[in-house]
Amino acid sequence: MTQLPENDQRLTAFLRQHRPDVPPGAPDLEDRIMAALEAPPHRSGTVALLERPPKGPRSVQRPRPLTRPAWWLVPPAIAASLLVALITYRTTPPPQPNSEDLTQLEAFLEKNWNGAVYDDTSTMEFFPPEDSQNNSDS
Amino acid sequence: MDDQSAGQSDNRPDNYLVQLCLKGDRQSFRQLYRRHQQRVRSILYQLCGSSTLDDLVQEVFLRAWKGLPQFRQSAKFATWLYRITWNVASDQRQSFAQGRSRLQMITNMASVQHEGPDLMHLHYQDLVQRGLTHLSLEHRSVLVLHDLEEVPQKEVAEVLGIPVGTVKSRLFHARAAMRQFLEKEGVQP
Repeated sequence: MTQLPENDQRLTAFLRQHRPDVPPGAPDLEDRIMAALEAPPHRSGTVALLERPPKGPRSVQRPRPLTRPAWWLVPPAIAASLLVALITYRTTPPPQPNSEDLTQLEAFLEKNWNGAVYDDTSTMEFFPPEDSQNNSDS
Repeated sequence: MDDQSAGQSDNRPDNYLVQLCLKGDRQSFRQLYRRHQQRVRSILYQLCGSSTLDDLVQEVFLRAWKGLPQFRQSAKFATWLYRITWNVASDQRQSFAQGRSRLQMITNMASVQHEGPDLMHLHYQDLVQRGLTHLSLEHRSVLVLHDLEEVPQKEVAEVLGIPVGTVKSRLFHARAAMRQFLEKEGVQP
């Protein structure tokens, strides 16, 4: 065995000399343990202590449900739905407007175009000149 | 078997007693308990404190009894028993970390220190105890097993399941940390 350096020897000696006193055990601890050896399993509290699930996150055991939900199906189902929606969108032709819709659309565009380029006298009805508004107030 | 006859088997080697235990002789296990309980108790105390010490000692020996059929006869019983002790201590520390009050553990540790007459000795005991709590579990374990319990490095490696080189390295760092703590408290061992 290799010899410790002197300062390690001093430290080790100090630690051994001043190690905390171990508290004494219960007087009947030995008999309790021996009794637990003889006790049938699952009836003794001490054996139950031994056989309880080990502590710690790695050893936590949960009861397994009888029917396990198929959570792994969810992501493929979402992906398949998106794929079907995309294919449907790309392959289905947009609905063709009928002649009545086209007529309405044409009239709408023409009206708005005219309103944007020329003075729209009809707006005067909603926004009268300021003078007339002041006169009416007085 | 009464205490007198149990006393006659004091000189039997551990592994012979283990053989008897495997044949159902519980009194041989009592011998093994008497032979090793103090050291097991001391290791558990240095690593886990005193709050559940009796329960932990009991758990170690019950696990040992149940695990005897798996014990390799070529191995050293004490090393195998310390391995179980280490496992029980680790489980206990995990449960402490999961919410039990460490303050209570430390308080219980401190309560033992007010029984002796020598104040300086009590002071140094308190320092050693607090120094140990400052160490990580890895460093604390090698220091307790090797420096306090005088378990050889090779056996410490077997108990902790690490190479001997790692034991040496951890021992070096653990001593350095402990020395630094003591010097900070005004003690130069």
